[in-house]
Formats: sequence, C-alpha cells, structure tokens
Amino acid sequence: MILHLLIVIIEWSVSDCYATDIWFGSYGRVPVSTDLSAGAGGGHGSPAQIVSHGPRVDAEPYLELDFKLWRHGKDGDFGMVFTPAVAGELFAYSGVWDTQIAIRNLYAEAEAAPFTLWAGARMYRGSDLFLLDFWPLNDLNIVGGGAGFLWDDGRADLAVGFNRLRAEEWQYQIREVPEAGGTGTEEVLSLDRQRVVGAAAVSHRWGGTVDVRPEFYLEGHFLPRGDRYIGDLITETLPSDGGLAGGLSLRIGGADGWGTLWSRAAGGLAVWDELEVPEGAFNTAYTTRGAALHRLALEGGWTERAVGVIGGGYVERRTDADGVRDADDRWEASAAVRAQWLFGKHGDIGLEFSQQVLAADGINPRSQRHEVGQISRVQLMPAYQMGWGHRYQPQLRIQYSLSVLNEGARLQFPAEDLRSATAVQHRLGLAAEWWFSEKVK
Amino acid sequence: MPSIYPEYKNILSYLSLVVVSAAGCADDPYASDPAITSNVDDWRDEVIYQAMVDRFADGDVNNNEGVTRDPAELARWQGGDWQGLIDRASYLEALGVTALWISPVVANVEEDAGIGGYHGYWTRSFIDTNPHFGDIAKLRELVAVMHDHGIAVIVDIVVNHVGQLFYYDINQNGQPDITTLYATDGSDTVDIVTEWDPAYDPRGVQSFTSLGESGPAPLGWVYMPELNRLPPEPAEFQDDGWYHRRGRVTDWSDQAQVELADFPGGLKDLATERPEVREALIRVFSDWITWTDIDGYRIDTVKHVERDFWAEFAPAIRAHAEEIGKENFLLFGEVFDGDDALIGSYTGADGLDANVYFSQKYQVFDGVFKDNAPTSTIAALFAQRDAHYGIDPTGPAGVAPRDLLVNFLDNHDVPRFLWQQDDTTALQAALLFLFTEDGLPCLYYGTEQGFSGGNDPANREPLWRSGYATDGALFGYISSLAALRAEIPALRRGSLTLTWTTDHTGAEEDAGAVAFVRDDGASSALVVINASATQDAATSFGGVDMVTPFPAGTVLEQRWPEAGATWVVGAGGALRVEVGPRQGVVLVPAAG
Repeated sequence: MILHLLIVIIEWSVSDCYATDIWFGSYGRVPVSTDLSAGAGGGHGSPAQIVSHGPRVDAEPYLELDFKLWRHGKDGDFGMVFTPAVAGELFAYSGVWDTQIAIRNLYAEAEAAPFTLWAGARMYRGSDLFLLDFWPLNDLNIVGGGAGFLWDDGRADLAVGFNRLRAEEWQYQIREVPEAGGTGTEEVLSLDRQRVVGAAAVSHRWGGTVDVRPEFYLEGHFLPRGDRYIGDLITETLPSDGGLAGGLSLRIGGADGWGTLWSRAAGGLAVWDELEVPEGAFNTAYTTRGAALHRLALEGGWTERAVGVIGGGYVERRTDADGVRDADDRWEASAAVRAQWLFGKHGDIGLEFSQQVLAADGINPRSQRHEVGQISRVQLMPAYQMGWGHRYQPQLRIQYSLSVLNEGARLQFPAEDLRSATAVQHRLGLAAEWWFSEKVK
Repeated sequence: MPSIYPEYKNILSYLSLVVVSAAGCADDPYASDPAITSNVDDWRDEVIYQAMVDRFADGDVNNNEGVTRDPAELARWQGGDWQGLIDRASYLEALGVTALWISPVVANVEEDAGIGGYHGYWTRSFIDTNPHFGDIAKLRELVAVMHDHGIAVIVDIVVNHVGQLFYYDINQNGQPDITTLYATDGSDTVDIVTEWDPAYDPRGVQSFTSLGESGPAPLGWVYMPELNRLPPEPAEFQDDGWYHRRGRVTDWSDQAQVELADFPGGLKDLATERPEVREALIRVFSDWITWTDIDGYRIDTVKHVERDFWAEFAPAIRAHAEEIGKENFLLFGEVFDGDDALIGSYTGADGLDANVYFSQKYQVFDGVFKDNAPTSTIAALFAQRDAHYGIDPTGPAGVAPRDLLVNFLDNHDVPRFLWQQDDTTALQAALLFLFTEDGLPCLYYGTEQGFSGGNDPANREPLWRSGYATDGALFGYISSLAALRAEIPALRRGSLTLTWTTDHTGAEEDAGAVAFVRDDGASSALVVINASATQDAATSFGGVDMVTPFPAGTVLEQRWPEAGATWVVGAGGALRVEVGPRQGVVLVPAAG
C-alpha cells in the first residue's frame, strides 16, 4: 500500500507540479556520564530511574533522521516522510557492532484544503512535555491512514491503523510442526491477530494577546480473539480485547510565558502503550477488561530576557485488570523544574531539580512492606549552544547531577543490582542534543 | 460495539472533571502485620477442608509463569492461588467449612526432575511466600477474608527437610553428577550413585575416588535462579552443619534413618537436634503467625523429626501465639503410619495438640467402609485412645489430644476414597461417620465433587473441572452433614460411647451395624450407621437389642437424613434400629 502511494505521488509530481521542497531534519542526543566511583566497585553507566518518564536529560542515546519530500501541485500538495531512527548503545561505548534501527515514519500525505489525507507508518502525536520527553495525551505508533479537516486556526483529524506485535506470542506466534509429507520440521503461523487502533482529535486556536489552544482526543483499541499453542498439544484461547482512552490538552501562551495541561483517562487495552504487551496484568479471562489509567500532566515556562524557568510533570494512577493489588497497580509521579541563565550569544547554565515518585499497591518483595520510592535529583548543566534561547539546540552540555534515592527507590532494584546499593549518587557527564529541520531545496 | 468497557463511563466523567480520581488509593489494610484475632473457641466445633492451593482455583493468571495448565500433567503446576481461594470463599461457606487447611505458603523449588513444586513441600525459603500463590499481602487478605466468612486458616508447614537444594559432591568435581560409578565397598562391584540422592550412610555420605573413600562428601549448593533452586533463606540455613548429610532413607524400619536420612526425592534433612536449627525454625514459624493471623499449623513428616524436637517446638509456638494474643492456636501433625500408638505418641503437653488419624483411615474408613471389615474394628481402635493419646487437657481450650483427632477419609498422599471404592453410597456412609464421630472432620478438596483420583498425583485434580457446582448430590450431602453437626452441640463436643458394634460381616442381622451416642450433658444424639453394602442391618442380634444410655420410654426423633420417624427406648435402654445398606440415621431425644 505504501509503495503504491509513493508511485502515485511520484507520477503526479512528474506530470503536474511547479515546486518541490526537500527537507532534512534530525533529532538526536548522545549523553555519557560516570558515577565517579571508578575503582571503588562502581562506575556504572546509567542514572537511576523508577518511573516511566524521568528527566529528559537522562535519556539514553537516540537519533532520528527526517527526510521529507514535499511537492506543491495545482490542486494540492503532496509529500512523503521517511524517518529512520537509531537507538541503543553506541559502538564507541559498548564495542558491539549492533545498532538498533527502526523506521519511525514512512508515509505519504496529500493536502487539498480543507482536507488532508495520509497513509503509511507514522508516529501520530500531540504535544510533548519537554522536560520529560513525554507525550502525556497521545503518542501512537501506527500503520494505517488518516484524514484531516482544516479550518482557520483549527483542525479535526481521524486515523486508523494496525499493529501485530511479535512479543510474548500474544498477537503472533510461529511454531514448528512436523513437516508435511516429509521428515524434520517446518514453521507454521499459528497466531496472527492484529490490533486495530483508531484515534480522533479536534483542536482550535484562539489567538490574541493570550494564545489559547484546546485539543480533545479519543482513542480506541480492538484486538480479536485468537488461539495460542502453549505446548504439549494444548491450545488456549486468547479472548478478544479492547480499550478506550480519552482526554484533552489545553495550551495557553503569552508573550513571556506558556503553559500546557494534559489529561488522559483510559480503560482496558488502552491503558498500555499500543506497542506494549500488558504482561502480568490480565484478569482470569486473559483480557485487560477492568484496567484503568488516569493521568494529569502540566508544563509551563516563563522567560524574562536572560532568565527562564520551565517546569513540568505528571501524576498518574494505573490499575490493571487482575483485581489483585500488586506492583502493577501504582501511583506514579515525575516532575522537573529547570532554571536557565543565558550568557552572551551561546552560553547557558541550567539548574534542574527533578523528583520521581513511585508508590505501588503491592508490597515490595524485598522488604515485605509497601514502599514509596523517591529519587530526588539536582543537575547543573552549563552548555554551549548555537543560538540564544532557553531551548535552543544544538547544545553541548556538561552535566553534573546529585541524586538521592530513598530506601523505597533502592528496593525497586534487585539486591544484586548496583543501583540498589547507593543512596547518594553523583554523576558527571557530557551530552549533545540537537533538533533541527531545514529546507535544503 | 458491545458494552464491554464499563470503565469508559469513568473516562467521560473524568473528562468533565479534569482531575485525577482519588479512587483506589494505596492505603492498604494489609500493608503491615495484621491485628491478631482469635477465631476458634473449640476446635471440635470446626469442619476442616484441606485445599491444595495449586489445584483449588486460579484467581490470578499473572502468577502462572511456568504453569503448564495441562490437566494431563498433574505432577506439574496447574495455576491455583490464594486469590482463587478468596474468590471461592462463599463456595467453602456453602459447603459448611469452618476451617481451611492450605498448602505450605513458603517459596518452593520450582521444579525438580520434571516434577513441579506445586504442592509446597519443597521449601526453598522459610521467610518468603510462594510467588505462584501470591505475596504476603495476598496471604493476609486470604486469612482476613476467610475470617470474615467464619473460616479459620491452617497452614501446612515442613520442619523436617528443605527441597533438593544441594548435592553431595561425591567425586569432588564441583558438579552434580546424576550417575557416577564407584566400588563403594572396595570390591570390584561397581555401584551406580547419584550425587543428588545417594543412599543412606550412617557416617554421612562419603566421597570416593579411584583409590577408595576420601572422607565426607562436600555439599554443592545449587544456584539455579530460573527454578528458584537456590541456597535456602534465611541465610543461616545455608550452613552445611544444619543438615544431617547422610543420604536418602533406604530402610523405613530403621528409626535412625527415618529421622536422620533425606526424604525420598532428595529432600535434605535438617539437623533438628541442633539448638540453633530449632531456634531458627521456631522463629520463622512464630513469625508467620504474627505476619498473617493464621489459626493453626498442620505439620508435615512429624515422625521423621527427632522426637524431642516437638517438646521444644510445640510449646514455643503455643507461647508465641498466646503472647501476641492468638488464643487456641492449633498444632496437629502428620504421622504417616498405621501404628496408632506411634501416632498418639507425638501428642500431649510435650508434643502436638493432635494428629491426623491415619490408623482410623486404614482400619475404619478403608477397612469397615470400603472392605466390609467388622465394625468391632472401630471399638478395638477406639479402645486404645486413652492409652495412645494425650488425655490431659493440654490442647487448645483445654481439650485433650485424644479428643482432637483429625479424622479423614483420604488426602493428598493416598488415593481418594472413590478410587478404591467407587460406590458413592459407601462414601456417604463414611462421611456420615466422619461428621458424627468425635474429633475434627477433615474433608479433602474435591470429595464434594465426587473426585476419584488414584495415587499421587492423580488424586490432586484441579477443582475447576467441577465448575464449582453446589447443586451436586455429594455437595448437598456434605453440607447437610456440616449443618447437622453445627446444629447439635453433642455432635461436636460430646463424649462418644459406642453402643453397638459387631464382629459379623455375613448375613447376620447386625452385620455392618455401628451405633454410638454423643452426649455433652446438655444434648445428645444417637447415630446408627450400616456399613454393609448388601443388607439391612439392625442394632440387635439373637434377640438382644442395643443398650443405650437413654431411660426407658425416651422418645427419639429422627433428625437426619430427614426428620419424622420416632423410636421409643425400651426397658433398660434397649433399642433396635434398623437401617438400609450403607445408610444411617441420627436420632435425638424428643423435646419435653
């Protein structure tokens, strides 16, 4: 389907066009740090995190390359987007020649006002909570298509897509059987059930001295039943499943500051990321029915010439479907506040305070008690950046962090894990982070 | 779309409020040690139900990692857990159960030689819960829920041994060899020796080299986290000296082996004569009472532990229970033996409160109710009670061990009643005896559903096969017996006087008849049962009727199986009651 769309677009562009834009962009980050304990049995390489979304500045290395071809036709515009991404440890760090590559975007889009159409594979997202590198309301990865309707300062979008995860033999299973009519074995496909994900969003912007933009969002998931082979000639039925999510975001911006609120509520399958198997969370019918998620997130920033402050965080309550109050049922909160001072055209010093809180309903298997894990962290980040602004990138940073892990946080890690041993952790590191998108033609 | 997502309503309300719901906050009543409660006034009032947790109900599919769920593989994990018991508390209550005996709660070796540790008798950690069953909070919840349903909770424990956590490194090569070949007696004859489970050696298992013996074999502790086969916890149990290290029992008639050798399956025998081992076992099993508010222990493999261990362990556990406010904590054990004197010898002030009544199981329930042995067998067995069991009021609520025997037809270690005798009426007659004799009736799960499995593991069927039906004949029969026992105090706490038994097993008019009176001073009941499969039986022979303690002229009303018929006691208490094959009646004096 994707290839066909591309052919159509190329044919169209060759025969009837008057302008072609080529865009290249990239987002990337390369952090490295040490805990300053080399020679003392430590020296491990990653900062502790106990929540789903910790500080952005502690994120693992990641790279996206964005290629966009955009042609302006008589009756509309057409384009395609290709975004390969690379994650995982860097060769220079691990010595392992093994890079993980994913195609995050590969889709074609057509726009003929007031309509838009797209098809392909894409990240389908709203606005992010910058400090935590997190999309609190909507962050889908789907293969499918969608349509939009545009009006002045507003738009409405619909999208539908599919996935079929390979993990855990939950949607997809290949197994070996005796080869038909021969000796040996052959592989057969014994489970292949696709999840359907649909999403709808409506947003509108009211401009003026204060810019206000609300967005309403709905998301639905459906998974048909399937039969899974579990061994010894036994097949078990995985029943159909589904879930719904809904929420809103509200962004308010002015001359010197801005703020965004997100809220999302979800039930059933929509409680989990669409690329995640909700392992350990099923009810006795092996469905996610009964699971629930409530999330509230905020972020805001204020700038006064050379001084800026940005702060954000979220709190969420997640309960799974099994009716058992265990580690899968939890309160989770994460927040960060960063103050920055700009020096000259390229200098920047940031000071960030962050807090992670995790309170699971289940008792901790190590302490046999309820534990509330907390990590408090302060980071000092002098930076050199390409331009003048509080989030201007590319940026080269030195990062020093001081983290305090309470006992509840240390108990989140197995006793044998290095991170469980130290209550106070110092880290010193370097990082580069960039994000740009430019029309190269 | 069908309305399968009730939580969606929450979403809509949530959207309008745009606040985080406070529902389901983490305030957990089970977060710390529970309040200690006393739930049993007199254990003779209770009806015990033995549930193998892995086989009762699967209430949480998320703890099923490694569970086969294959009904053809009963020697492996099936998926039952404490949540399943919680979900089915009403089932137990409807059956008339007032005390629940559950499988050991501690973390076990996951698997050994392809056999699962689902039963709970392969301890790996004395202080952690079995993750297939739940965590400590779930266990606390189970106990609390059962208490809310009027059901006390008894936990199975093992102090004799741990799971197969080490091997004997006989050839000292640092690995467990399944088969090694040695001339263990110095001859030219080569023996096959497994380092996991070598035969008993009174000196301790010895090392061998090609030149002969080379001293005690070092132990090789296993580190197989994927099977939870790790050195035991707490860490003090990782001391080699805490184990007898003499290998597997080969001669059950040798008491030294019975007490000092490893249990079959390579279950390593703890050196329970050592003070520090005793102290540790007392501590961990005291803690479980504090942690969970349980009401009693059923103790495994009692006769395989040094006898004087019990004189130290039992009083200490009782003292701890009393100290934390738990009254009438029950300690009863398994002496898997038909020797009545041996079973009784472990009871008393320096022993246990009671034991499961294996001698009765073999002689009465197997002998009389399955195989037509004379009912005089019952009289002969009961006549030994005073001599064999503790008669001093040392048990909970001042009840003597003699009066606290745990009666049972079958359990997880023996074939089910219906496997050996497939006539349901025989089972019903035995159940009538079980619920009306003195002592504590103990019902093995699945009996109420007519399960008929043979030897282990066939007798450990998943109960979900039954659909948990409560309208079956056996379920109704048992629940009516439990109700009868609850209704008539004498059937619970009254003394038992046999009024008729017989040596006859042929065509005589009383062949199969057994009758007894239960009397607690305030109420009384006469129970007459015919164990014969083929003919009516009467409490009379050769013109001589049964003599009861009731005065002449006493009118006895039938209370069970249905009310209605009456009998009048004749001169000298004489009474002739006739019942059909494998039938029985319960009579009580008419009011007024």
